[in-house]
Amino acid sequence: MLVSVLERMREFGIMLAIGTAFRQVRVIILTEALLMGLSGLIAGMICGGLSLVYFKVYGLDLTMFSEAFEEFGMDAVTYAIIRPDYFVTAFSAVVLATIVSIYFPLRLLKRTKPVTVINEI
Amino acid sequence: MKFNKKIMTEFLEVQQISKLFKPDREVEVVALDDINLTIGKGEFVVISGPSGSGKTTLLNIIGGLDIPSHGDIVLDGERLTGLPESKLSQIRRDHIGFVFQAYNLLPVLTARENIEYVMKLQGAGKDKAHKRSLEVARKLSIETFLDKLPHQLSGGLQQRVAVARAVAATPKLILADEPTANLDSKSASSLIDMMQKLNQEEEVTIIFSSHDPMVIEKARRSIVLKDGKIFSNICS
Ligand SMILES: Nc1ncnc2c1ncn2[C@@H]1O[C@H](COP(=O)(O)OP(=O)(O)O)[C@@H](O)[C@H]1O
Ligand SMILES: [Mg+2]
Repeated sequence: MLVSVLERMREFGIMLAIGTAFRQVRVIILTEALLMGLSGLIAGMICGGLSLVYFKVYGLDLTMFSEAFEEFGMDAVTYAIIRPDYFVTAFSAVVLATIVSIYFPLRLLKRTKPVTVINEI
Repeated sequence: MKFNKKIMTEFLEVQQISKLFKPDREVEVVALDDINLTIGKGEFVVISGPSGSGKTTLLNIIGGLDIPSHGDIVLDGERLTGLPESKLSQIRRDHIGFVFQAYNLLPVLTARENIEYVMKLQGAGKDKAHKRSLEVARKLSIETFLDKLPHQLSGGLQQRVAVARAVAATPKLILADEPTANLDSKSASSLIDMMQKLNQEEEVTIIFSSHDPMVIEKARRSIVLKDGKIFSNICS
């Protein structure tokens, strides 16, 4: 997120210069970051969910290592379990990561005068 | 006694403005040195002077984009100096239009969306914003480019969109820092002509800076800066 805000400093600088309130810019940056994070999460949940379902039905066949498993008293074929809190944890992690990732860019933006950004390039 | 001319109220006052930059601990640059000016409502003024004379700094301070080291700016009776950034931001949105040398349109918005941007910030509804953007676009002959993105337009057209954005939100004052510096002489000349027309039709005060003689001579009043001081201040 730092990279993406830095790349777009000029754009945010223009918005601030022509009268957008800082808090409006903050909302825009937060919304974009959350959308990005959440679309990643959804893609991840679909892939992860499908493979979980697969392994729940067919199991993870590790019979090639069956001797080793038997020594530990485990089955060579393990079946996945799906618990809703997997998704809750992932969701919270994404939201938290998003907030952390925009904290420093926002602080930088707040401290920079919009004109310096605009006139730089 | 009878007045034929409309009386100009002093609506912008630049009082003893100085600006020091301290890029290092050792170095100190005096960008503006005790500038005093009054500009009346409806004026069309150019600020000229060599590069580094303080034009940009002065326009930034007048527009509440930078804070002076000393002195006051009073715009239409309201003192800008000492106001917090949140209030300055609101004044910029409601009362000042900005045009920059490098156009500075928002790259992801179409020309129309750029023109309507400040109006929308002010809370204008969709219909009102649409009507106004079309009206202003016609005055600048850009009504056929409204659905284009900035990168699809030439520099001259982008700068006309930028002027439209500044004018559309009906500001009291338009500040344009070297608006023609990146344009060829034909586009530059027609941009200034359009700005002059808007100055009259929309009754908006315009202050712009330039170091191009052909552009400077179009303004009724010319203020020349040199080393951060006013070198001359002439009405023609
Ligand atoms: N942010 C800054 N830090 C240090 N010096 C600056 C800064 N901005 C402008 N200056 C200096 O202030 C003087 C006036 O600059 P400027 O207002 O940009 O002049 P102009 O627009 O007429 O070219 C120059 O000497 C410039 O180097
Ligand atoms: Mg300049």
